Amino acid sequence: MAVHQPVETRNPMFIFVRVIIPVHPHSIIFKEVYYRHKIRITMEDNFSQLDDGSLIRLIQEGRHEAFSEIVNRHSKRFYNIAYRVIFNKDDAEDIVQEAFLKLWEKRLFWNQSKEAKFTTWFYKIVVNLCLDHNRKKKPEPLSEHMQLVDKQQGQEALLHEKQRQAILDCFMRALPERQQLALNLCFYEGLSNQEAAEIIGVNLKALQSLIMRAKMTLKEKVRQYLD
Amino acid sequence: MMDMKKFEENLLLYGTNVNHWPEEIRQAGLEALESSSEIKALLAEHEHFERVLRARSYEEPSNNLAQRIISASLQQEQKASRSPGSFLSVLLNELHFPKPALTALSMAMILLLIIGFVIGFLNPSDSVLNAQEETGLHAFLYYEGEVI
Repeated sequence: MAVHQPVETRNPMFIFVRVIIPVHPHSIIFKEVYYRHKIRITMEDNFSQLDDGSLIRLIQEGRHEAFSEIVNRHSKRFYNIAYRVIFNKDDAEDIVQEAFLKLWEKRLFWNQSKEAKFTTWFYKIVVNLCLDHNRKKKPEPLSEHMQLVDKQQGQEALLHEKQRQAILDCFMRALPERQQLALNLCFYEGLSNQEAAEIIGVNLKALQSLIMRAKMTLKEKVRQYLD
Repeated sequence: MMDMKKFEENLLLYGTNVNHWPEEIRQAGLEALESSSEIKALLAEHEHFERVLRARSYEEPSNNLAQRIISASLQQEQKASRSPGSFLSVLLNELHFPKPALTALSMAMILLLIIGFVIGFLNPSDSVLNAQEETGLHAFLYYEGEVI
């Protein structure tokens, strides 16, 4: 992977800020000399050894290599949840890209001491973008697979499977928004109930109630239509 | 001893692998499973249900998704790097004031501005007084009104 030169080092405004401001006692530079020294030893060649928190700190310094590492490390994970919520590959990829670009653009506003761990915080961003996207988009009546009941020889099993998947997607879409989210985060993404509760913004009991209602509804529908 | 209803609740919450349930209920779950054929049947039913759920459609992301995001961020950075807004945000972040401190600073500056205006209005400067005097003299000398 190519290593990019930090963009800020070529920016006169940035140089001004880095030269004039560091004497300020609240300056990040002033406070974190030791921390930077410590992680610089590690990061010289290998960003993959750093944890997310350290990478985010480097991103805040404008280190694009750290951003690249975060993207490479997590883009698929966040694509998964986006796809599960949006049901469309291209839109899910666009959402993930938008979320990461926001992270890079607004990197200076991330307050690591206040926020939860990076993935939990970023799940929130991706999920909110997905929900906004779904609210703007008109609901689709049926997936294209549902209309593919063209029984060619040898294709029937595949079509049957596709139909089952499409029906299941319809059942999922019919669930209330928060039940869908709870199920996607806990069942499909394997997050803990506590982390999912934090992402959705509910307490643990409420999250458990959402999961139970979602599964009971789906179980009933699966029993009626797919078994 | 965990009853059937409680066991089903836990199945829905934590999945069909009882060994992965939270530690405090795991043993009770395993014991309930050993002791009742009804609970075993319930577990089998849920395993089937979870298999159906896992068969949900899924498309892999494009191979170049990460690279696409990285390239887009570089382009975005080149566009934004010289904007005044970007400069200001870098500056504010570098000072790293907490929000209450920023609010207090803003209020103090507004207060100073108001005090400045008040002082200015109450104490007009000499240059303004001179100008007023000159205007009065000019009006007296060149008055073209009624003849005394």
